Amino acid sequence: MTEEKKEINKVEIKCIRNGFKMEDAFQRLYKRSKHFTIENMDLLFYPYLLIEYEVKFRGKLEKLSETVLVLCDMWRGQFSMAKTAGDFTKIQVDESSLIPVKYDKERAIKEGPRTVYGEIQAKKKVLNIPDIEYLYDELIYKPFYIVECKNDEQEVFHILFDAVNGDFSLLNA
Amino acid sequence: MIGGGVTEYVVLLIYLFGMIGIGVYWAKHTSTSEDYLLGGRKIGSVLTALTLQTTSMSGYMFMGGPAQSYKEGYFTLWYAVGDGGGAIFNVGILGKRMRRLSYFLGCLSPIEYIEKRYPGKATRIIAAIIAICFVYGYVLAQFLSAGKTMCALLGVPLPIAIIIGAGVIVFYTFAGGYLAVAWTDFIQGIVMVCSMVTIFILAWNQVGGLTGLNEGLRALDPTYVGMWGKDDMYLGQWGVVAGAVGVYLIGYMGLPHVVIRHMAMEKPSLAKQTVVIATVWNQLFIFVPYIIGLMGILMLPNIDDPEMVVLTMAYELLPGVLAAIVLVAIMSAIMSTADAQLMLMGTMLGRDIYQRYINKDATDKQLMNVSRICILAVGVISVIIALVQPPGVFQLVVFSFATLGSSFLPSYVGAVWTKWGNTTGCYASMVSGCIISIVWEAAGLASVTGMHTFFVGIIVSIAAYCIGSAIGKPPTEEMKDLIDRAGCKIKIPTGLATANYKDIAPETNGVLTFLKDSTYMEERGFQPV
Amino acid sequence: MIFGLEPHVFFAFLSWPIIYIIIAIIMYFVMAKHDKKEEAWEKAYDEWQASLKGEAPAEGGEDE
Repeated sequence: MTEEKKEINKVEIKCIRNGFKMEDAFQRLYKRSKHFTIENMDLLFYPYLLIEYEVKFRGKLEKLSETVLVLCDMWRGQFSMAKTAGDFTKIQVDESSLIPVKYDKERAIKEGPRTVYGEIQAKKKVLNIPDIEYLYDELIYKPFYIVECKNDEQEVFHILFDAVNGDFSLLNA
Repeated sequence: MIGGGVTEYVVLLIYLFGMIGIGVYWAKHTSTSEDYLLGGRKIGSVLTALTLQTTSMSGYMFMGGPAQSYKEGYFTLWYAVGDGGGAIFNVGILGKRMRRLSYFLGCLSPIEYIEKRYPGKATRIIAAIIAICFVYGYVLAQFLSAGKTMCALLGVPLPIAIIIGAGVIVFYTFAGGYLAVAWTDFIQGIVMVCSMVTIFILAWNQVGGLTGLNEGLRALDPTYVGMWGKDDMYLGQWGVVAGAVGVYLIGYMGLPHVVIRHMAMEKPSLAKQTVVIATVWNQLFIFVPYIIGLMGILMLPNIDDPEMVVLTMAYELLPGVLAAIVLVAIMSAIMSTADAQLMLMGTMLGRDIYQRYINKDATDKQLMNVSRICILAVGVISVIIALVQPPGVFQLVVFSFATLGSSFLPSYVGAVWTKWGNTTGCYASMVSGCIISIVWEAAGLASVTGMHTFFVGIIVSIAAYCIGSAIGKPPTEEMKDLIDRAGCKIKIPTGLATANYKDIAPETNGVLTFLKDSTYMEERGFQPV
Repeated sequence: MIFGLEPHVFFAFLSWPIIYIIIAIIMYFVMAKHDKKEEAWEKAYDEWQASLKGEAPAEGGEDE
């Protein structure tokens, strides 16, 4: 990493608080296997749009109103439901460590309810279509570590380490 | 009738009670259904080797083989040439990998194995129907030949002979499951080879050794010792030769009741001993019956029924008791084939049909009972058919072998050796292999075209497997991993890919595409991904 | 003539037992070599699996 660039392109982002600092990630990886060494490690931030909707049911017997959260992967345009908003923090980061936002925000807000319908129908077996109202949105980032390792045969491989919950997977598997 | 004396009865009774004793012993030592269905995966290399081969050889080797060489001369040895190398292909290609993959997939029956490797709604039902129909063809053929042998030798009426033979086969398969099958196969194997080799040595002396035999045959008719059969009847028909060699050289890899033995191997590393033991064993046993048939041409030129050539020679060359033991050897060959197949049918009907479609939560005990009842039922049905309208034994065996081989070989081999072989390919090869064999046989195309049924069946089936696999959806990543694991091909240090892989996978792909298109890695001194 | 057979007939039919036994013995050693590699692999694999089991799975979001 170059200190110079970091200085030039610092930006402030809202980021999910990372449960795993670099040392924690080190420890966690070494605990899994001893047959490798960590050569390099750096943060990478993955963009999500957190959208909040209000869902209103008008059933015959019941009237329900609920707020739901939808996460849109702003790099690949994939949606998922979020249980809770999570714990956020505002930090200054090097702009080049952010994966850019490629997906259109307006489109994400418009398409988000489709995921909500799907989820409601699958989980609650509700057949009538509820009203879904957009409440607000916010661009957030999820932190990952890119970890460069060498195995016993000195072959290089990379791991993607989820800094929030400590999951990891091979990048070039 | 050749036998029918007291000696034959005594020897046969001693033998039958011995086998029943083993069945009872193992019934007491069988506890879980894994024990019953696959002998608890504890079959050592010698047993695997011998059961693999005795299972594959039936009464056909004592009756059909010698009878055919008696009729056609050296040409029949093409079948032996293929058979002699069968174990090398069968164990060498499938053995270890199939043992591992079936263990990883957690399957006990060869049909369950196909279904787990080629997941799909119709896999099990297609495989089970083909396997049950044609393995049943085998079972029926064995019951018939057992009955015919008993009838000819003991002088009892055919119906009684069939009931006695079937009763014993069903009893010890029913009582002890696979362990009983494996152990009795082992003993039967020893008896079989000793008997055959004894007749062979005595006949060898009578005809003046191999040179004497061949010169004698040449004097009778030079085409007996030629490459193309008596009167050069197969002159230039390489399609028949290829089928005759191939059917036993590679055909075993498609037989569910043979490949189940790989799944029962104690350790994958036992495969290498199995190859050597089985191959040496095959050279001892496989060529001998055909050559005895050739010797029969000189020694028994006027025999009425060529299928009785080995039995008649035994009575000509051996004292009464030893001749009776040969009779037992023939019975044992037939039984070892029959009980392995009955066992397989018990497995298929129990696990593949009952547990799958009738009672999903069947306990070990229920499953074992169902398998036993099914074995009993199959035995009873076979006896009824054998008594009411018996079909021809040898046509049934050859046809069942070719159809099973053509239907399953590509799926079993492709399962462990390709990562691209998929469900569509499996369906295509099973259905086309089965249909082409039936059509080829029913229309009598083998003699018209000079192409063996198996030769055509297997080519069509392999082609269908490749084409189907190219069209269909590729196997899942998890399955590919398991196939790699069965071939010990996964890199361990990269094993940092954890069970969490699935949760994080969508982001992994996203990150990968980002890293490949950006300067992120370069700027931070990483090596490229 | 070899044992009263023309050479091509003899080799076509009766040379196979020797050939197959030789192939089987060669295969034994080839497979034994593979077995060694595979055993080492299996051991490493088992160790790796054991190390995975020894690891307590982390529940997401441990706060700082």
